[in-house]
Amino acid sequence: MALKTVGDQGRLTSAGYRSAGTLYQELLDQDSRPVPPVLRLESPIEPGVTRVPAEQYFSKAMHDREVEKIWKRAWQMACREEDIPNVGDYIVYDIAHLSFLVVRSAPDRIQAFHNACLHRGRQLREFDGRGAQEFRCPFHGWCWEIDGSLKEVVCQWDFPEVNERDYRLPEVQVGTWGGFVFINPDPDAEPLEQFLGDLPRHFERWDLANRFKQAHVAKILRCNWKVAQEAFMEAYHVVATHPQLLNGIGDSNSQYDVFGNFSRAITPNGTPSPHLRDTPGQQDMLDAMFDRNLDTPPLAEVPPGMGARQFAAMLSREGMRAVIGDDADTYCDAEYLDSIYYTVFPNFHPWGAFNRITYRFRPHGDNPDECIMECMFLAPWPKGEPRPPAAPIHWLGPDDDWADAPELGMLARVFNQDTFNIPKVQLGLKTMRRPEVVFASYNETKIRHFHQLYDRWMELE
Amino acid sequence: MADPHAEPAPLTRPPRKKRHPLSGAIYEELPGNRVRVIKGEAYGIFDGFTTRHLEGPLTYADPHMIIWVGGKAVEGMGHRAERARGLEIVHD
Ligand code: FES
Ligand SMILES: [Fe+2]
Repeated sequence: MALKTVGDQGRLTSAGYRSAGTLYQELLDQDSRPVPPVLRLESPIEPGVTRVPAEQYFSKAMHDREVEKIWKRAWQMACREEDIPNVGDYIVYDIAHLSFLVVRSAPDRIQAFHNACLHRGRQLREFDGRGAQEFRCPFHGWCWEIDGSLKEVVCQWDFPEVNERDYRLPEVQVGTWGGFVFINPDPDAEPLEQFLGDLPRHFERWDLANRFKQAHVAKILRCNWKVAQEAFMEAYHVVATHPQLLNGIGDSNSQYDVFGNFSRAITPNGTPSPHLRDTPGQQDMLDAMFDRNLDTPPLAEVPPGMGARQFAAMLSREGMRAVIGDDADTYCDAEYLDSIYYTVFPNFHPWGAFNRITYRFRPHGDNPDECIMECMFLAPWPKGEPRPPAAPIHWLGPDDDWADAPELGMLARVFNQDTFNIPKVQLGLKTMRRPEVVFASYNETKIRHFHQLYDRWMELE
Repeated sequence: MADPHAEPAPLTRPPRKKRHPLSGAIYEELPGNRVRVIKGEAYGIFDGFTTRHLEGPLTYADPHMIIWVGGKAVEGMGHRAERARGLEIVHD
């Protein structure tokens, strides 16, 4: 007997099974402005479900293997260039038990070093800092220039074999893209440009280098880093986790694509969920987007003859005009409204167009049951004005509420819904009768794509 | 120590109140971090943070709707001008 399908009944298209709702490309046909080719791109993953052993999310052996196979070998976003604007500014980038010092060593040069003294191994720095002129180890005082050359050894006469050539701080590869600094501990890794492939072309219209970091919130979560990031890689969960959005969000009719080392989802806003029995009115859609409460007046009213999607895009466009001037007219409705969320393997999630989000997820030390989730807001600033300073990291503990970070606005409460699930996922994974999880052929494209790459990097195939 | 039987402080803003788009149940914020859910003839009152059932014949309701209607408010939110400008559309 066939299972009963709740809500969206689906349909067979030439590309395989898809939502019964309006498909994203059909929605783009209704845009009030020309739609850029990047949104017209379609590159679906091959159909099929993906099963993943539950222990990948909690086993310490898996975590240790990730350190060896991924964190020591993959390109990973360490910070923003604007986090270290001046010579001598540095950040400490920690991943599992590895630690790196990323420093601006000259106006146009960023270097990264293993964060450990070559004498007896003490970490050189535990915290980010500004304007360093040298890195002197707090234990016995060995000292390096900020470009990694050995500057001073206390009682050098006692170390006849320690010389400048062999005792430079060991360096790791550095690359930049979109205003982000990436590092790679593997000296034989392919260049960042090659690893990113077409990604820069996708972001041509949405130059993240010309955004400033308006907010940066980091929170410790009680779950594996993959459990956390996978909760932000699909819109399939919206129907159950964010029901308040359903009148104004295209969840099961989102579009998903894969491209080499990255993937993309596009979730349209200002259009109803295909799960709804009755199509909501245009004002209902707008009210859902603005989180209107019952018995309160609407924040804005859809003018007669206009759709919610077009009207909300117009409001966004006019809001953006105050910042970017009449360039605001060169972007289409979809660029103002839709959630366009990329994932670059293994853990970097920049969003396209004007949604300001970038996420990063990483293990919290060597505990496979904990991770660090970060959300940055990257925003444009008014032309002709100096770049505003980058926001420092606002840390939240595992029991803190996202609403304690008001700089996230309404997103804080949306995150509360997402992170309400994930510690319970971490527990459930350990008590499953059949210890594996299963990912949807299309709606969980990005996660399936991640696991294809993950298996390859982890040499699990 | 605070008196556990004292009336909770009233809300200083209009309560959050939503109709569930799938079930049609009404979720309404009450003082003291609680949420009342009315579904058909039945009602239940739930803790707005943990979603635990507190009273009433309805013992289970959508936990994500409960924490959306309950839960901590974001300071400075509801700034209408800012949100109506479209900069605070609630995305997933
Ligand atoms: S329905 Fe997805 S984890 Fe239960
Ligand atoms: Fe979510």
